[in-house]
Formats: sequence, structure tokens, C-alpha cells
Amino acid sequence: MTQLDIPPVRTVPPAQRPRRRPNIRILSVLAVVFVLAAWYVLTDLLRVVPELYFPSIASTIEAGQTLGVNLALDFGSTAYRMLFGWVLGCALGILVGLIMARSRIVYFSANPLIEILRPVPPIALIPFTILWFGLTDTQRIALSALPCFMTLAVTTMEAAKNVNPLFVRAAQSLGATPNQIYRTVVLRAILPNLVASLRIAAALAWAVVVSAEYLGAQNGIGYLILQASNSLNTSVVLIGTATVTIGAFVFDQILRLITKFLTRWVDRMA
Amino acid sequence: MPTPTGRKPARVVVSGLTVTMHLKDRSFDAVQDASFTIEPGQTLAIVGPSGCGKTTLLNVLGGFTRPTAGEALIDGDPVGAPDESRATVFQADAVFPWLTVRGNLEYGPRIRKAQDAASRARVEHFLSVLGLEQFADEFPKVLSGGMRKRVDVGRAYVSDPRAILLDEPFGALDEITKEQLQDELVTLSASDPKTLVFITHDIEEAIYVGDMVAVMTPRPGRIRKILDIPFARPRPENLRMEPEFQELRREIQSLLRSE
Repeated sequence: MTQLDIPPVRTVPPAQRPRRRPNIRILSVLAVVFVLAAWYVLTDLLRVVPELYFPSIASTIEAGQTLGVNLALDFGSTAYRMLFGWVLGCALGILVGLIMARSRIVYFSANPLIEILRPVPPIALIPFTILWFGLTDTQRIALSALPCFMTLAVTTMEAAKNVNPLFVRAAQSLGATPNQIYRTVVLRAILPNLVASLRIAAALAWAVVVSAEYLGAQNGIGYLILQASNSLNTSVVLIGTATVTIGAFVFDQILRLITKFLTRWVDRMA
Repeated sequence: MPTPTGRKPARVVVSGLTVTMHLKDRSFDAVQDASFTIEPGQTLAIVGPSGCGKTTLLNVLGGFTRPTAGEALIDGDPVGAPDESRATVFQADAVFPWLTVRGNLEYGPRIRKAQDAASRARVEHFLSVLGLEQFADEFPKVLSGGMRKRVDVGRAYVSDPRAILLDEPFGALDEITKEQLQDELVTLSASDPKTLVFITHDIEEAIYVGDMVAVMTPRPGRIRKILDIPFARPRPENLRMEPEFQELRREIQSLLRSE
């Protein structure tokens, strides 16, 4: 009998220890270090870029020292307005979204208004809101609440409509009233779908508050940036921008941790 | 283990029940003239092919669908909107994923603000008899399909209804897990008697869990025959292999074939 000389086809690779993936996190660090180094070389060292266009590291640090506690106070004002507007807008948005999912009358009357108003850039409403509320914190808070409200109203409504009807039936057959079903089933079931919207709304609220502070505010990061920009003090402009960026980033991370805890029951891929 | 005392099981009476469904171009009777009586604490298994109207029948008992004619009575009262008098266990996973296993079992008493020593004892009792103790504080996402079904059944029992309606509860499980759960259900119905309505398309399952088996055939959905199941509870070992069991099985099979 002739032996066919065919090498065995290996369809499954032999068991082996999983290959260790090279640690590429170092790339992230290197990227940041590279940008900082380029900044230093182009401004402080070679002085290729004039201070007016982009401040040097040395003058930025100096400006930071001069601002001192005032920077913290300005950031505090901005953060207070943002937080207030975000909480207010999100809470109202969730409430209206839930009601729209529940009542056809409310849905058909409120939905077209929301759909028409949603694309209006909040910043375009600055003149009107100043007329209505004056140059007050109320005006800035209302303005930042608006995009949060729009985002959350739409996502909440969609999420509430998509709650698995079996959960509702199960709750009914265990004796839950409609209000209890809303509290113990619908609100819990939609939370994972709201997480992304809550974070997007926060980013919008920061942007809107800083823009609102450009007009008529007496403090806040937006006020600081505009004042410095009028006197061509680019290092303060940079510090203001960096402060609000870091603030928004830290807030987003906190939000991420809180929502991750609240949705720890979700079966995730990773 | 002593069973914490529960509510008295209900007497379920269905008479002349018809449910007409309306489609775009025609109407048909999903259930036609169904009648039966389940004595308190007894189990009626309803077996039939998919589309024979058995889920519709269960939905009427649950209060999710209104009958077109006839009536369904729980202890003499016509069934109304869904409430805690009858708990439903669905085929698909309806365990609340945002509550722990214990949280799911406690849901019924908690929602009715009836959490007390007795209800807590019931929770611990059913955690224990269903083998869920070690998972009590876990979220359902870590559980297998069989364990989730145990949570579902436990939640219905802790709620202490007068009847439990099960809609192909073990239909999605593998054969071994399914038989384990059938045994557990039979044991539960002895220690904590509830009137059970058990929908299935599995003939052996119907005979194993039922005191009576109603055989349903589709288009229109009619109950062909109701058979008494004579076997002792708890079910003797290897009951499924016994000649009488197989004889019943053959009878139901031929009833289903001779539409």
C-alpha cells in the first residue's frame, strides 16, 4: 500500500500560551511628551513662534502664578453654572422623555416642538436669553440646560419605548402599579442607554457656559479668556482654555465611574 | 425544612372561553370554547404544537388578553387586570438584570410594601430549595440559563400568589437542566402548593409535571381531551421509562396527530 505523502492539514493551531502583546501604552505617554517637547523647542528654546500666536511655557507658568487664586475662583463660577444647568436640563429632559413615552397626547404635542427646536444652536439664543433673563447666572444656566434637556428628552423617550415588555408584564404579575413599574422597572432598564447622553450633555453644557460667559459675565473662565484675548494676553487665554478642558475631562471621568457603578449589572463585552 | 406558610391556592375555572383574533383580512379563534377546572393546588399542563392558542389561553388567565366569550374565574371571581393573585413565568428571560438574585426574589413583597419576617423567611427558603444561596448577592448576568429560570420561578413563589402561570418556562433549556427543573417544580408543588397552569410543547414534560394534561390542537385552538395523570408525587425514579408513562405519551401523541 502506498503511503500518500501529504502533510497533515492543520486547521486548529496547537495549544500554546497566549502570546503577550507588546505594551503599547508607552505610545500614549510618548505622544504627550512629544507635543510638550515641540512646544518647548518652538517657543522657549528657538523662539520660532512669536508669543502672540502661542505663548511659551515660561510665560504660561508666569501667567498662572500671577492669576493664582483668581483662576480657581473663575473656574468655580464656570463649574457652578455648568453643573446647575446640566443637572436641571438632564432632570427635566428625562422627565419629559418619560412622559412622552407614556402619553400619546404629550408625545404628539411636544415632539414636533422638540424636533424643531433641537437643531437651534444654543449660542444663537444668547441675545434672546439676555433679553429674558438679563445678564444673570440664571441666563447662563438656562442656556446650558437647553442642550442637556434636548439630548436627554430624545434618548429617554426612545429608551423608555424600547424597554422589554416582559419586564413590565412580570412586574405587573407581581403586583406592581403603573407608577411602581416606572420607578422600579423603566427607570432602571433605560439607565444604560442614558449614560452616553449624560456625558455628551455635560460636554455641551461646558461649551455653552463658556460661550455665554463671553457676553456680560463678571467672572468665569469665558470672561477670563475674553478679557485676556482683548489685551492680546495669549498665555492667560491658553491657561483659561486648559483649565476648562481639564475640568471637563475630570468631570467626564467622574461621571464615567459613577455610571459604571450604577450599570454594573449590565452584561458587557469587556 | 419547614415551608413558611403561604396563601391558599386558588380554584381556577375556565368555561366556554373563546378568544377571537383579528388580522388585517380575516379573523380566527385562537382559543375556541375551552373549559376546564383546576382544583386548588393542582397542576394543569397544557400541551400542544406552537400556534395552538395555548399562550393566548394563558394570557387570558394572566389578565394580559381579554376573552371574546366565556369566562375565566379565580376562586369564583372573573380575572381582571394582571395583579399579584397570579404570577407569570415566561419562556424568555424576565429576571430583572439590575437586581441581585435576592433582590429579584424580594421584588413582590417589596413592591407591595409587605416585607416582614415571614416574607424574608420565604426569600431565604426559596433561595435554599432552588440552590441559589451562593449566588444570592450576585447579579443575574453571572448565572446560567437554568439558574436564571430558578430565579424566575423563585420570584413567583416568594410573591405568594394563589396561582402561577408558566408559559413554556423550560423551553429554552437543555435536556438535563430541564429535567432537574421539572423535578424541582414537582417538589415545590408538594411543599408549597400553588395552583399551576403549565404550558408546554413537550409531551413528556406535560405528563411529568401535571396532575392533569389538556391536549390542545390548533386552528381553531381547541382542547381535545383532558387526561388525569395517575403517578405519585414526588415522581418515582425513572418514571419516564415506565410503560404506563409511555402509554400516556403515545395516547397524547396520537391525539395531537389526529387533528
